[in-house]
Amino acid sequence: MLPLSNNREPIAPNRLELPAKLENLPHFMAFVCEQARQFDFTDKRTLEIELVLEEALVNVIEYAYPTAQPGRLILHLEGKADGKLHLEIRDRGISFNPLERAAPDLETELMERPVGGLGIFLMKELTDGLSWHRENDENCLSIIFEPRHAD
Amino acid sequence: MEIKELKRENDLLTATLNGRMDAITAAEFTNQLESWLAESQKSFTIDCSQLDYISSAGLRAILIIAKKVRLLDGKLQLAALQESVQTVFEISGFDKIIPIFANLDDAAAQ
Repeated sequence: MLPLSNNREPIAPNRLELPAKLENLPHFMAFVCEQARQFDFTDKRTLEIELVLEEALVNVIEYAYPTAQPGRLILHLEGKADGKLHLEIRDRGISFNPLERAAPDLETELMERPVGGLGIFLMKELTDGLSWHRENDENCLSIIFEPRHAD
Repeated sequence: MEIKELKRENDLLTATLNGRMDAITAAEFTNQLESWLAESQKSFTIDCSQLDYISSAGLRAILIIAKKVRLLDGKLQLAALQESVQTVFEISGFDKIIPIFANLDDAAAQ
């Protein structure tokens, strides 16, 4: 559920669409950092936004499309007048809800610790709103960041 | 990202990690550590004071090497993590499976 903003227009609506390839990761990251700088986000929070963004994008890049045929990855970013940063990541790959993945067991000792699943866990821990839906054959992941993450 | 050998003392190799460890650069860490392992080096202290950022790809690379090193009866320990990197380690529970020290001197004393 998106919080209602007041009467002002969104501060910086924007969109970037590129092939879902790892080499494009820095472009997406730079795009979001540039936009996030317009907000009063602390350096720490900006790093957390980068981290969540990388996890979400790499997930699409690695799993949404066949490796030989990377499809499009669409990033939509909107800064609302309420001071929150709203991100939406869309792809036309196979239907996949990353939020259904079980949390890794963080208590197991080194040799039993599973190697995967940490990215989605970090996303859940560091965001203030995270939801997925399928729409028009697209995976749509919505992410909300508040300037300061409530622990 | 850059990983550089600082010194080798008493079978312990100390290296510095510089920059960002992400989905693109984590392989550089893996490749370098693998190449040291191939030289029969099996105990490492990594100075992370210049490591600005780590994502799950970086954590994964560290976990895989830490497991290999354990099987060889060696050790992989980290020192001088920046606050944001330390936070990622704590959220992931990695601070409980990877030895982390405040600085290189503390790590060397182990």
